[in-house]
Amino acid sequence: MSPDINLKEIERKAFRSTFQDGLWDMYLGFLLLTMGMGPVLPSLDTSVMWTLGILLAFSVLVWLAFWVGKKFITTPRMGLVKFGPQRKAKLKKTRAVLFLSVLLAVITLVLRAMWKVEWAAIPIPAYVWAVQAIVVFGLGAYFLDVSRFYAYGMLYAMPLPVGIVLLQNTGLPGLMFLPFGVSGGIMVIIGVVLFIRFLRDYPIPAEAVSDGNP
Amino acid sequence: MATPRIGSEDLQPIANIDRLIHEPARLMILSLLYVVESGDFTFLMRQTGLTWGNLSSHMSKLEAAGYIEVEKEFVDKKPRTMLRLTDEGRAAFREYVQSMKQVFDDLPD
Repeated sequence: MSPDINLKEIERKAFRSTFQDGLWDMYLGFLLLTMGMGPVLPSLDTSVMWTLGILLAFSVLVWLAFWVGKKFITTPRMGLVKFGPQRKAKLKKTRAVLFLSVLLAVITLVLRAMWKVEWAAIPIPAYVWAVQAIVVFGLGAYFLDVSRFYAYGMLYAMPLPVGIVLLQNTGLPGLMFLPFGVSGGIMVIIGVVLFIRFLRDYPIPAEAVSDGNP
Repeated sequence: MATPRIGSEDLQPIANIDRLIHEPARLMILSLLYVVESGDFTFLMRQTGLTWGNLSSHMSKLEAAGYIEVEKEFVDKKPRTMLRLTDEGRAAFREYVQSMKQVFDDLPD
């Protein structure tokens, strides 16, 4: 072990520790599972508006679960920290990348809804989706210093192209959910493992400090 | 021939080391607060591995020296105590690091 005090490493570890509770992994996993319902719902005679409504409702539900978990389970166990200006700037960049990504996704969805194009007939957006996922998660992993997000970029990139190939070969829209289920499931499992480990490593602090007070 | 003696000025950097910071637990606390904007008591306890009593006692000493400041804020109507390094504490920590570097510069093998 190096005897040096590496302040940058201390800051990095403190920041990364906020991603070790597994909630981000579970959130991203469930979000991908929700997205996986997108191509399947129209095959169940669901209108475009209903499909978008269901997807939105599930997305909000997943976000709420994440928020509640952070607020009531992990933050009280881990404590609250505000990072310095450099880290805040990186967080801002990550948010900007995510915002652009969501904007692009919404535009794609709206265009698709307006043109009423079948998923199988639009192979190009599948590759756009894949590239976008790799770029967005790559930038996120870089700015947030969380290396497993690079792998999540791949897990997000694969389902749509793979699903379209499955659809083209079998003609069964329901099968499109399968690759989404596998990728999302992997992330959820990683999240659950991290979450259990987190609960074990960070028991609820004594009453005297449970609100972060000395 | 008289044995050459070490002049007091040679050892002066050691005498100048801030003893308040030099204590390992307080050094941990200050190192952590140096790299973040602020953190609450639970966060510092988790990251340093200190017990509640230990951390509380060191915090009081650092606060009395003016090295850290305690900010009370309300989050969802609950009081939360955030701790941050003061400008004085930041300067003292930098000075401590410089003094330590000076002491161990050109350490013979």
